[in-house]
Amino acid sequence: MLPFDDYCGQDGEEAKQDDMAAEKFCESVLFSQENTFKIFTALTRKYLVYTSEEVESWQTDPLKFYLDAKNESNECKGNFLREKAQRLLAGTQLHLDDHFTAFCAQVATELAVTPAASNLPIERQVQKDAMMQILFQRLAQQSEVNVDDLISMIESELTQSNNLIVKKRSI
Amino acid sequence: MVRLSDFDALQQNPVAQQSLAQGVLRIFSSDENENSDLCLKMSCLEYMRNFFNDHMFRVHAYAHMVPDVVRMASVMLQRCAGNSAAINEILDLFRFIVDKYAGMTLMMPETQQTVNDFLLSMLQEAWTHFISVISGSTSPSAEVNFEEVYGEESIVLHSIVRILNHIVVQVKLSDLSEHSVWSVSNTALAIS
Repeated sequence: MLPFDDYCGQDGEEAKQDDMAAEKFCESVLFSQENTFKIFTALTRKYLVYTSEEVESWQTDPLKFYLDAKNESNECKGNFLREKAQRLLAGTQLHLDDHFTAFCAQVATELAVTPAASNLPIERQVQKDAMMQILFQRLAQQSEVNVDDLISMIESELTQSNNLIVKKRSI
Repeated sequence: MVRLSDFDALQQNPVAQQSLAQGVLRIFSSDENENSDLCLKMSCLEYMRNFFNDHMFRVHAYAHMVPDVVRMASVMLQRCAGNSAAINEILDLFRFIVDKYAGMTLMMPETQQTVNDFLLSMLQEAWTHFISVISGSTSPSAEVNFEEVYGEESIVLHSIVRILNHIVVQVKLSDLSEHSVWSVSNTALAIS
């Protein structure tokens, strides 16, 4: 790439070519499918999940927890991070739709072989919930996506017991 | 937050939509003891609120679910009597129901009251409590922070009056029970 000063000093056809080169660099190197998958995976595993503090506050005062989550209260660190993660996902989806589609397909495949949440420990339940949030994000942006599989899975979860988190967030 | 009830694809699929709504009702009624999780219960209620507020809502197709949903909301009104934010969520659901169904005669299976009569008696109870405390004839309940629920910062009373008004506008008085007509008249007098 050109040094910043040289790049800014250009105009006309040369600048346009550099713009295209920069865009190509971003697409092929910075936001390669491998890199974007790493970003999506990190968002899912670290920022969309309920934190252990949140799970604890849910158990302590469920009504307060519900209202804090609904109002995206900053009192709760998890809310703040989740909101940012969701915005980043929505923005990424706009610009890197192919990669997000591929990632969602991978998540859907993984979810299909994940046992019902009621058979999972709490740590896996929050992970499963976060994976479902990824697909919800997809569905919210793309109305032509087939929802049948996800609906079947949610209907099945609704009939289980001991899967509070997945139930709560699914509905 | 992304919600299942908001998806366009689901809104265009009435069978799946109804199946999920009934699943949510089952979750709510499967655990009604006093220690059941209020977060999950409020989430069920919120699902119904979004469901009944959907611009593509099918009024006649889902009429049979109304008594169960009204019952769900009345249970929550009792359990969350001290929290104005939760009460407002519940009253919002009542408002959407009244908006769509006040003109229909639907029965509550357990009490054999119409849905309108049931709603009026429940709202009248809250209203009477407020009036009796304000007029000094009773003390506020120890479990309820009166200022929080009915104070100037709260819109609980405003919502109750709005729902009562909505019912009165849409329903002929002759279709209401004698007690409901009396309740409505008394409330109107108190407001005036």
